[in-house]
Amino acid sequence: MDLAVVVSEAGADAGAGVTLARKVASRVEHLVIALPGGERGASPAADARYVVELGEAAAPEDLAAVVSAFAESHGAQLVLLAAQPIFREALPLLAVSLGAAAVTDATDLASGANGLVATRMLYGGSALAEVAIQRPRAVVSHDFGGVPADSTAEAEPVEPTAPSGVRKELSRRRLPSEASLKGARRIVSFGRGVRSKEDMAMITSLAKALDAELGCSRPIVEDMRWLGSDHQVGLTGTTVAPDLYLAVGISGQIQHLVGMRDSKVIVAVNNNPAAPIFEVADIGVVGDLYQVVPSLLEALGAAAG
Amino acid sequence: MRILVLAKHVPDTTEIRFSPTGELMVRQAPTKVNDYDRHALEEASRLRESGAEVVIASVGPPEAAKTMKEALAYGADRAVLAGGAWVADADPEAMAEVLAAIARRQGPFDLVLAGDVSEDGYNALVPGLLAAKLGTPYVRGATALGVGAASVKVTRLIGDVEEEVEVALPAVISVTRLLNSPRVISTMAVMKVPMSKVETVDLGELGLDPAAFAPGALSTRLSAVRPVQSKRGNEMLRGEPAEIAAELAAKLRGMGVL
Amino acid sequence: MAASAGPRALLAASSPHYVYMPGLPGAFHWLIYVALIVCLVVAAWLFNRRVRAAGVSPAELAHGLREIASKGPGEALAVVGAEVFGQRRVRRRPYAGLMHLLIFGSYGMLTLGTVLIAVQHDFTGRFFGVTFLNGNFYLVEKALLDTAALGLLAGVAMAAWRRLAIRPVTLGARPTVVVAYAALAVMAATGLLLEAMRELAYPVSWSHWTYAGHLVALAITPLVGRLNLGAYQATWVVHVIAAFTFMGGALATALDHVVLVPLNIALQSSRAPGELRLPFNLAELLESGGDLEGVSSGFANPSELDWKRRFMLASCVNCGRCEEVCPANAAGRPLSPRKLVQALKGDLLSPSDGAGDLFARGVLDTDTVWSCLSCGACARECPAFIDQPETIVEMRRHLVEEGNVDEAKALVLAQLERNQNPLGLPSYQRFARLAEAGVPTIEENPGAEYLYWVGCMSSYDQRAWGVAGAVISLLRLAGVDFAVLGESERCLGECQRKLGDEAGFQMRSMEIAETLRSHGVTKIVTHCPHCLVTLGRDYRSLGMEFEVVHHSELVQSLLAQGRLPTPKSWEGGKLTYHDPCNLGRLSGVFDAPRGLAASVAGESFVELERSREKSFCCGAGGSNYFYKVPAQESVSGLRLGQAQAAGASTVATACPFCLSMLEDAARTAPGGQGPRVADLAELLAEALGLEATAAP
Ligand SMILES: Cc1cc2nc3c(=O)[nH]c(=O)nc-3n(C[C@H](O)[C@H](O)[C@H](O)COP(=O)(O)OP(=O)(O)OC[C@H]3O[C@@H](n4cnc5c(N)ncnc54)[C@H](O)[C@@H]3O)c2cc1C
Ligand code: SF4
Ligand code: SF4
Repeated sequence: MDLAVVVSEAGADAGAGVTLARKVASRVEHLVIALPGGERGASPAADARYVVELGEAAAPEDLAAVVSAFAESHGAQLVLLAAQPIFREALPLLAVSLGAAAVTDATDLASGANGLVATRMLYGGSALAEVAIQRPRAVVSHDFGGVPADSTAEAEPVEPTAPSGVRKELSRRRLPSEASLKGARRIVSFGRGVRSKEDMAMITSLAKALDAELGCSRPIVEDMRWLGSDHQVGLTGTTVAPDLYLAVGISGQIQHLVGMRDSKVIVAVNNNPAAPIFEVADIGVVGDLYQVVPSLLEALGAAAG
Repeated sequence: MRILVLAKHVPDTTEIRFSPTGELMVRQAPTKVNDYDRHALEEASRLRESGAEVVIASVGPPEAAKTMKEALAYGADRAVLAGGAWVADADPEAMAEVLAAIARRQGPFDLVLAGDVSEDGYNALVPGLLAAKLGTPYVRGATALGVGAASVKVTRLIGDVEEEVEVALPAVISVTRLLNSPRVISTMAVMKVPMSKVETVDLGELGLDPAAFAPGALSTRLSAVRPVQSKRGNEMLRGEPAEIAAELAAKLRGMGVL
Repeated sequence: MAASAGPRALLAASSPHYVYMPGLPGAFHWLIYVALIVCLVVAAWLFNRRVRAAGVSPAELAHGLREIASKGPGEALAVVGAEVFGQRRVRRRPYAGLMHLLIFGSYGMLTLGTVLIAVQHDFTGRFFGVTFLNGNFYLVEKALLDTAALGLLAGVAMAAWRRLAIRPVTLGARPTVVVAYAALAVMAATGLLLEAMRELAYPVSWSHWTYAGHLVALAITPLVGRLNLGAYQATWVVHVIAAFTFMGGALATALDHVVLVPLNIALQSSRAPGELRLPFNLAELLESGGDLEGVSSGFANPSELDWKRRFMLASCVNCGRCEEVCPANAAGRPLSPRKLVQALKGDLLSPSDGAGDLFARGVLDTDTVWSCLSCGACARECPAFIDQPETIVEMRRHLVEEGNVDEAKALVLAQLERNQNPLGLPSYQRFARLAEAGVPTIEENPGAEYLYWVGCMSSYDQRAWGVAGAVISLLRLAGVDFAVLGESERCLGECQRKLGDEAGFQMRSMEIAETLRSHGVTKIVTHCPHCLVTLGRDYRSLGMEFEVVHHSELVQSLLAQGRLPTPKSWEGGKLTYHDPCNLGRLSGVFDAPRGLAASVAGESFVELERSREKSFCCGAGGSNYFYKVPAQESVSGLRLGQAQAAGASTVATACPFCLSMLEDAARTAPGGQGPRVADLAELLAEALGLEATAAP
């Protein structure tokens, strides 16, 4: 393949996208979508860098129009989008306007005998599928990792197309982050291994350090009454599936497990090596939470600071 | 007001597994209405209570007729199920093409509602592709809807930013699970839906060329499916708290979950 | 008549016999009959009004009774006899039971006494010249009737004391009831007074047999001079008026239960405890290809219940016995079966305004019906034979049909459909553990004597694996020929039925019965009482017969046959046994588990205060294992506390749900770890030194 265009938002590192695109294309160009007057650094790894300015509330139609015109004029066979909300919405529109095949959330790309092959998850992550692209062009999204960009590499400006005016923004506000286990990306959950209400502070700081929601086992809600029932994970609480579930001092009875076993990564901290929670854990830390949690806070703090 | 709801017949992902010989066992899995689509069905059924006509459209195998009954039980006027041998290979683009034909033939519709994604493929493509094919605005991720006579206001959550946008009708809106809590559909409620409410159509009846739906003519094709190693790592860390904490932090970073 | 005809001497000299209405004009005789007829007409009218207020027509009622009669009234009569004449349930409460017995028994005897007089005077004597109120029989009868009059007075006094001084919340001193009780008291008092006056005016030699009247006579002797025929006759009139006032008017008061309750008992007598009525039979409906449109289960408002159930609700006497034994009520959940029945009865008799179902109209709260544990403790106590748990399930059915249930319950129903178990774990993992342990499936061991039904809990809950493991080890040791269904086993739907998804349950039952039949299964053993009642009783009511035994019964018989050795020593301290509701109260299995417990722990076995039929639910029943309701305390905590109070250091049970609930309560018991909780099979296997198969 001759040319791939990697599209990302300004301020987010597109390195992962460029690397993936390089696997299948000989030339990779990077198109940055920037806010008017905002940050505009592009990936230094790309062969060419462009930037286009769009308003904060630009409609996916507008985004699709710009990228489509760009890809068309440059003759790109692959458009690789960062898997972010604005691109998710624009992707199908872009595919239709380019007459391209559409693939979302590809985890890998390869050049097969008959063209491009994308790999992606199927059936809730229980299977991996190879998707053969049967069109000359493809629009694909991929998780670039969400790493902040520190690039200042210059990019050449591209004229945006005239706004379509399809969408009118009525309001926009940042929500105060409130505890919501459902849909949380990270959860720090604790159980009766925590001995007193005062010790909860340790767990809350860990949650804060990880930018995680606070969960707990049932006894914490029903017997100790330290937290409200909206924090309870499990059979009679909330069923969650975050990217990271960190269980501290939770034994892992089945009633708790059914509420969190679909989490992507499960980490358990427990001083009993025979605790059933370890059976479902990706990483088990055998140790006293009163030592492990402060150390972990330190380790995380050191990395952040 | 005429509303088209897209509802997909999907296998239950919690029951999908690979046989000891590595084959994907989907057929044995129970099937149902895609969970995300239930929220669209619920919303449409509420709009129907204030006078809207609701038609369900789906692409699926013959067994999907049963699933359509379940979808109808939320409260809809009828369902159109497009099927045929081609369905087994249909990719999102092909499905959107067929759904667009249904929307045109049975339309015009003021509003198309669908779930953001389907549980099986998780492509999140069909509603957007359909909007592009119909040339209507598309908004995804609805957490609240305000349907007016000529426009629809959509509230949605992007990260921790809540925005409200308005687009003109007709429009395609895909919805999240935060939109509403769908009612429970009892077994009896499904049994009570008469099969006559489900109309099955094939490509010819929709004025589509079957040749365009042959596996080789589609935009994508599944060439291989293999199991994901789903067993947990069960990696145990023991030792000095400070050391294992550092090790853990490094591992989590490596896994990309921090 | 007698008074004017017979001289005193004659009376005094003759042998004991009944003398008809001495000192009263003959016309009175006929007046009684006139009054009786008036009174019966009034009572009938009141009864009609009462029944119609509940939306029941007397014709329906008559039809119902005829139906019972045509089916063979033996059972109904036996139950009514035991409950009404034997006062089986009423007696369970000391004060109210005694009071009730005094009033009911005395009134009954007095009525019988009066009827005997009428029979002798106006029938056998008049037409055949036969009299029977003579001699010793007559003397004993008189003594008994005097006792009854005293009993009635005592009973009314107790009732008055209760209503006025004790004042339980459920009772008030409503004027109509006061009139009824007053009539009874006046009737008894004037009866004795009349007897005394008669004795003074017409002395007989056997007057000491009518001892109470005799005592009154002694008391009023000083007044004798002033006694005249007029006073005597006036007293008689008051007596008769009081008697008829009560007889005619009771139905207008809270004492209407004297008619409603026995009738309701007759109507409800054929039901097994915990049995749920079939609102439809899905298999038959589907076979007949009938229209499903009008088919529904459950009720949105009490007015749409069938007449039998309306009559049932109307029979509640607001006695509060149900509330007293209800574990949900004890735990401070928003449920009192008494209030629930009263609310439905109240709404039935005078519907509140507003549109929609009974929840929309605020008659009941949905949390109230979700709080019920289907434990059946209330229904067992109810003297009026009201089936509270069934009524509650029927309201749940309505909520499910309307789709009006919260996420937690919806999830359980969805998971049952998807994963064939209420926990939402993959169906293909059901058999993983036992397959590893080499337990034979029915395909591998066709024609096995017993099919071992493992159930969801022991297939998925790590703790409950131990129970299945112990059962399997015991069966193997005893050489029992058994097999399991393996991966094709699935939830029997007990929780689904209790949640109110009746059609889903019936659908499932047909499929499961088909699987069982295809393997030629006839005998089933299970360690789960929920599976036991479902496969045994519930499936039978749907026309699917299997012989199902609980593991405690099978193991106990293996012990008795010597196919299992008796364990020797027990070091577990005091052992008590918690009767699972589904096994004990609802299936009648009490002795086998006790036999097992005794063979394990011998002398160290202690009974709980609330044991056997009086058992107190663990908190999991009625699908409550799977969701939360607001409560002050946990039901399992209360139950565990009862075991701790009995000094038990081991609590044995025979149900995986009870095991899970009680063990959970023990884990969080105040003051640290509570007693050990284990299944009887586990204890026995352990005592015999067996490794539990597939134990974690
Ligand atoms: C019907 C029913 C429904 C239920 N629903 C739920 C539900 O929805 N959610 C739920 O969570 N539970 C539920 N439970 C309760 C469940 O069975 C368990 O009792 C509960 O999850 C246990 O909570 P836990 O792990 O905090 O406590 P425990 O089981 O007591 O575990 C505490 C753990 O902490 C460890 N620990 C102790 N000290 C330390 C230390 N210093 N450092 C490290 N580790 C330590 C111990 O080794 C132990 O493993 C339900 C139970 C029933 C019966
Ligand atoms: S069945 Fe049990 S929990 Fe339900 S009302 Fe009766 S006593 Fe209470
Ligand atoms: S339901 Fe039965 S036990 Fe309960 S108050 Fe009424 S009569 Fe008494």
